[in-house]
This record gives sequence, structure tokens and C-alpha cells, in this order.
Amino acid sequence: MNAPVTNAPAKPFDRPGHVGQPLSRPNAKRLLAGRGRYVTDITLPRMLHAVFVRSPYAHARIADVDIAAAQAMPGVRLVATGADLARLCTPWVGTLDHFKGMKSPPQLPLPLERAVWAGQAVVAVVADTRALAEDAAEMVAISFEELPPVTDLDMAQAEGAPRVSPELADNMCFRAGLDTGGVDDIFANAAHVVEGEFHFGRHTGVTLEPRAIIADYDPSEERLTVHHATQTPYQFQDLYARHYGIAESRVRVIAPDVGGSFGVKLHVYHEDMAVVGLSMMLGRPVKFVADRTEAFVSDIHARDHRVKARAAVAADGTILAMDVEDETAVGAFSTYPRTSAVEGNQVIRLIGAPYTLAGYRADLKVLFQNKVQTSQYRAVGHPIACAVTERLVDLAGQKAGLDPFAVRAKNMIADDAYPCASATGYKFEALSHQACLAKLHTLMDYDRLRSEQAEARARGIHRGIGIAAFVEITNPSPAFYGIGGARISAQDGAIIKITPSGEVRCLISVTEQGQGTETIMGQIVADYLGVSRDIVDRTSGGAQAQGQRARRRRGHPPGPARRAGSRERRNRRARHRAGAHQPFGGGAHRLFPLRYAARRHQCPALGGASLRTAGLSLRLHQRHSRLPCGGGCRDRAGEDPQAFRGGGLRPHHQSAAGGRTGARRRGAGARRGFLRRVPL
Amino acid sequence: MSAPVPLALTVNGVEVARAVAPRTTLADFLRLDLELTGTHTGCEMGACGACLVMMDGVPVHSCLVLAVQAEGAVIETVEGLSERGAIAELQQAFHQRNALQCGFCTPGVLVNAHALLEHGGVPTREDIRDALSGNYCRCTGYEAIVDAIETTARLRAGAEGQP
Ligand code: FES
Ligand code: FES
Repeated sequence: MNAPVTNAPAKPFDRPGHVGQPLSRPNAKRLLAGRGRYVTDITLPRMLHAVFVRSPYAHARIADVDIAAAQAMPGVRLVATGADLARLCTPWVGTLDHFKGMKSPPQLPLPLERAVWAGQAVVAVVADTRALAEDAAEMVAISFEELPPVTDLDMAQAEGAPRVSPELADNMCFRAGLDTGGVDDIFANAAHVVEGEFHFGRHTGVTLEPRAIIADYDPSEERLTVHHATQTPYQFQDLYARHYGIAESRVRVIAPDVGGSFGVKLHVYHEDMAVVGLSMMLGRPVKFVADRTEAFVSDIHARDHRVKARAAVAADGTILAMDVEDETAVGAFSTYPRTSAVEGNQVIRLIGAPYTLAGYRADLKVLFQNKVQTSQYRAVGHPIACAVTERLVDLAGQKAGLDPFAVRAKNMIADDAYPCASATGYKFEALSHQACLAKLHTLMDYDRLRSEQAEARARGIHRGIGIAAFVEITNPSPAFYGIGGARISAQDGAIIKITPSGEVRCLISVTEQGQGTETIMGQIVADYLGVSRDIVDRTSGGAQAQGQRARRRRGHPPGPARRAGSRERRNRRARHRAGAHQPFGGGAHRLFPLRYAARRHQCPALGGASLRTAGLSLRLHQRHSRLPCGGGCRDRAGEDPQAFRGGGLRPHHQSAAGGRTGARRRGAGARRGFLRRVPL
Repeated sequence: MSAPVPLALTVNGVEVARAVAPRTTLADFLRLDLELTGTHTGCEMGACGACLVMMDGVPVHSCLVLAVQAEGAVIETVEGLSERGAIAELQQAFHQRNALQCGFCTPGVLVNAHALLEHGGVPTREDIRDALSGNYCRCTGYEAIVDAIETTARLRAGAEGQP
């Protein structure tokens, strides 16, 4: 059974405290009663259904498309090709400005001339029901002329290789390197060199609810409403507005209950863009739900990497340097707007992160091939970086005759060395790998496990014990993509309203897929205002025309963001808020009903500068720090991995528990960044 | 496409008569015709278990049953089980243990857990895991789900043991 979690609860304030308490999720009851409302469940009046005819070839010229028979099928309202949609939608390119030299061809909802992966949507059919649309899709006749496909890393780089995009010079999407200098010398003089080649197969996310979207364009008002199973409604509000030339204030994106996302549902998919155009062409709502087979060939894939890595090791087991080549095979395009290069970039920057290294060198190649696009999915790049690093560390330990714990203890960045930077340039505030490792040693009763292992081995039972350390990037702020020109978190924010009845409405831009976002926001808002969370009504997942200031991405609490400025500015804003509330409450002093009157001087809406204790602010920043948190984790065959809470399995909780991810240093730069708004 | 055929069955205690296309699955019939959207479809090929419903007292994949095959059957979905209080303890235990994230798999898991517990007694954790082997959850891992089902079984066994 699970060991009890020993997070010290946040010290209660002078009012009911919710932050730090293990509270249940109010919205979970709805889901347990079968009352969820996912996009797949939604039916709008006069709604039509889209299905797509897909390419069976990895690379083919589209010679001819014959849609006449399909158009004549019962219930069919529209059959559309790439050319039809290209008249409405401007192309997009999946590059970020700060990735120098990155290239990717322009993309359209449906291709004009060539299909570039097996499974790419080529023709859209819209009919009264999905079944009728599928019937008609079978009648679409496309003549393909097969072209040579690029199917792996070696082929992509070979001399004279076919090119995935004829308009680009080669198949290299992005190349980057890191070099601290002196690496060759370190290797030449090291007592040992350990090395390995690591192959990682493609994964996909497999959200249990497949991708689903309903686009509803109303030509009378030129207004677009999209019900979208996504993590990022504001991002899509911006993209649909820009690529379809609709005023952003007339685009509304609603993300209701979402049946799993895992990063899969925050990218631009060709079918989703197409559905918006189909709705515009028809002036009616159009729904698309990928079936499971379609999901496998059209959802993003991830983690297709080949890494060659070596480490220079001193005779005593000190790891001196690492030298890494990461080649990653992406799709035929770089994904929009987050690109397909971030994963590899994080692999080369996270390798070796928990350890002191005198030298580090890395070479990253991101290569196109004729397969479905890849992009960010669960723990982007971390598993690859961790696997490579820890294998090298184990090999170093073996060479030097050190136990896996000992070689890690010897090489970890010391707990008192922070703040510092990793050899790859990541800045760390205050990690605690040594303390973590020591705690893990005790928790797992390492020596006992080793003797049990030896005893079992004698009986012919082979049991492994693995130790891994890692550093996780937790909350990198809107600037993470904003610096490259992607308006992803630029509009994130929260609006808090206090109603005449003394209840609180909190509208939050970040979405909920069951991680507890709404609950967490409710806790923060309730504590911030000093009320019971029962009267805080939270609504997440809607993007519409509301003037919201740029805020940091998921996890940034509505409260402390307001502390970013000087006290004077804070007070000015608070006074402004008090005024702004008057229409709702008939005067600031009526905002809270009597039962809260005793606390009203603490209400931010009333301009109380003493509204927060420094404690809350600090704890919240710790919890939602943008800086990486450290973790150690071990696994042993046959045991319950959830029992090891000391590890990095639940990074957000862990960073709170550890309390070591710093707030202060992050403060200035990051918060200035967010107040300045993301550079667009 | 063949013409609709008449279909009569009992769903969540209510007698229902409709005309359906013969190719309609029971899952689509429940979700689209009867608007019982608590039953989910995650794969439409019998792999994920999100679409489980009770049919004549046995859990079935409603994506693999044609609606016409349910002629005369008694069907219960998560909505029906919920409204008649048959899974109240399970729901409570799932809530307490936070045995769900996105909740998309949850109705199928609850239906399956309900069927398991209907056999009475306290199943072992192995039995519970075995019963859940056809339910994919992509969010949570299964530990909390098994905990919640085990807790409910114990609770019920304890309650029965009392005078
Ligand atoms: S939808 Fe029926 S088993 Fe997946
Ligand atoms: S809770 Fe999301 S799939 Fe199970």
C-alpha cells in the first residue's frame, strides 16, 4: 500500500485555509455520475459531420481527385479539397524565431499537390451523420502517383536522398549545438570513457477521448465558436482568427471536459483547421471526431531519437564530461506552433543536469521524414535525457567499482552549491539532490533490498534495482514560446467577480483535464479572499473576447501575480478593483455579506495592502516555480511504483513538498517578463 | 444503407421503442438516440472498456453490440446505476481516493466494478485487477482505482456483517 504523504500542510492563515490541504475535487463528482460534457458528447442544432479521406502512401503526388460520386451520395452537404480550403485559410509554418536556422515548409489544412505521410487527410466529406459521411468518403476517387519516401534517420541524411520538401535544400529541420569547450582534452586524459548508443521508438499519447472539435461559424455576425477538446483555447482563438481572417473578438474557443490530453491536444492539426473552414463554407456547425485508427496516424508522435553518448570518468568515479549526439526524426513538417524541435532541444539541455560536469558538448539534428508530425508529449525530452544520463552514470560506476548510489552521491551537484547553472546553461535556484538521494536510500531500505536481491539470485530469481535522478522543467513561463513568436500563453489569466450575493466567480483561462486545476484555483482564490471554497465557483477552459493581461501559464495562481509590482502599484490596482466592483455590489462595503464583514478589511477588492501574508506568496511561488525541480526515483520489478513518493513521480506535489524550488530569484526576471507581456 | 428497423428494449428502467438503422451500435444508440452520453467510446473496437454497459445483468462492450441485438434486453448505463444509487458507495470511494482524472474511462470502470461487486464477497486485489484488465485508463494508473473498489467491497462486506 502507499506510504502516507507527509507534505507539511501550509500554515493556516487567520482564516479558513485551503492551500496545502488535501481537498477533494468538486468537479470529479460530476464525472463520476456520467454527467461529464466532452466535445464528443456535444450536439448542436443543424450540426453536420466531417470525415476525411486519407493518403495510403507515405509520399505521393496527388494526380487527380474525383469527388462527383461522393457529392451525389445521400446526406452529403460538401466535399472539399485542399484548393477549396486554401482559398480561406492562410498557410502556417512551424518554426520559432529563436531557433536559428530552423526551417519547415508551409502547411495548409489539406494538401494541394503532395501527400507527405501515410494517413494524411486529403479530402473532406461533410454529411448529415458521420455514417453517411463515411459512406460518401468511400466514393471519393484519388489518383496518387507514389514518390520515394524518406523513412528513417539515415535515409534523411544520405547523400542524394529524396527530399521530403522539394522547396527546402535538404531534410534538416534544425541543428543546434552546445559546447563548454575543452571536451576533447578531458576525454583524452580521462582514466575511463564509457559510452552507449540509445534508440527510442516513436510513441503517441493515446488520449482515451480521441481528438474532437465542433466549429460553428455564423456568417450573419461573422462569428466563430469552436468547441474544442484542447488544452489551450486561447492559443486556438488567436490561430483561428489569424489564419481565417476573423476578428479575434469574434472567435470563441470553448474547451469543456477533455478526455485526456497529455500534450497531444495542444498542437494544430490539419483536420481541425479544415473543420473551421468547412463550417465557414457551409454556415453550419461541423463536427469531427478522430476514430482510434485515425488517431494513431494523425495525432502527434514523439520520442523518435537515436542518441550516441559518452562520458569521461576519472579513476575515482568522478564524471568529468559528457559528449552527446542526438538525432531525432520528426514528421514531414515541424508542428505548429510549438515546433518539432523543442523535444530534441530539451534532450541535449537536460542530459547530465543533476551532476557536476567540467565539460559538456552536444550536437542535435532534427530531421524530416515522411511520417506523421511529432511534437511535445508528456515530459517533453525528459525521459530520453534521463535514460541516457543514468545509463552513463551506471556505466561510470561500474568502471570505477562504485555502487549505483555511491557514484550518484559522488557526482551530484552539492545541495549547498546552489544557485548555479548546469553545464548546459539551465539556471537552478535550489535543488536538493543529495538530500533526496539520502532519503531514498533510507526509504527503500537499500541495503536490505540488496541482500534480498543476492539471496533471490541464488535461487535463480533475477531482480533489478534501478536508481535515476532527474531535473524537471516545471513552469517555464509564457516567454518559453513567446520569445520565439508563438502567442501561446499570452492571454492566460483569471477574472474574479464577487457577486451581489457575496459569492465568488472565478473564470480561469487554463484548462482542466482532471489534474485538479479548478480545485487548485478554488483553493487559492478562497484563501486569497478569506472565504470558504464552497462559495467559489470556478469555470475553466473558455477563450473569448475578454481583456486579459498576460499571465504565466498553467499553475500560475491568480493571486500572487498581482504581487508582482511595487506596493504602490499594487495598491493602485486594488483601489481600481474596488471601484470596478461597485456596479455588482452597490458599493465596495457591500461586497461581502455580513458573515464575512469581520474580514472585509483584508479583501483585496477593498484595497487592503495587508491582504496577503508573505507566507502565502512564497509558498505559492514555490509550488508553481518556473525553475526546475529535482527528483530521484527508483523502481524495482514487482513493486508498486506509487509507493515511492520521495521520487519525482508527481513533480508538482514534489516541488511543493521539497520546498526547494526557489521563488525569490525567479521573481525579478520572470515576473518582469510577464508584466512586460510576451513579445509577440 | 438498409432502412430503419423497430427496436424495443428497457434502458435504465424505462421501456424504449425506436426505429434504428441496423448498422447502429448500441453505444451510438445510447449516446445519440437516447442522449445517454455517460457511456463513452474510446476505441469503437472492443479494446478500451469506456463503453461498458450492463446488458441483462452482464457488462458488455456497447461498441461491439448492434442496437438491434439488444431487442428485448434490459440495459443499464452509468446514468441509471447512478440514479438508482447502485454505485453510490463506489462513486464515493472513487471521489475520496481521487481514482479518476479526466473521467473519460470512469463510467466504464464503474460499470465493470459494479458487475464485479455484484458477485458479493471481497475480491482480492488480483481479482480486481483481472476484472479491470479490459478498462484502459490513460490518466491515472490503476492503483487508486483498485483501492477504491477494494474499499467499497470491504465496506459492503462489513455492512452486511452487522446486525
Ligand atoms: S469504445 Fe468500446 S471498448 Fe472502446
Ligand atoms: S481518467 Fe482519463 S482515461 Fe481514466
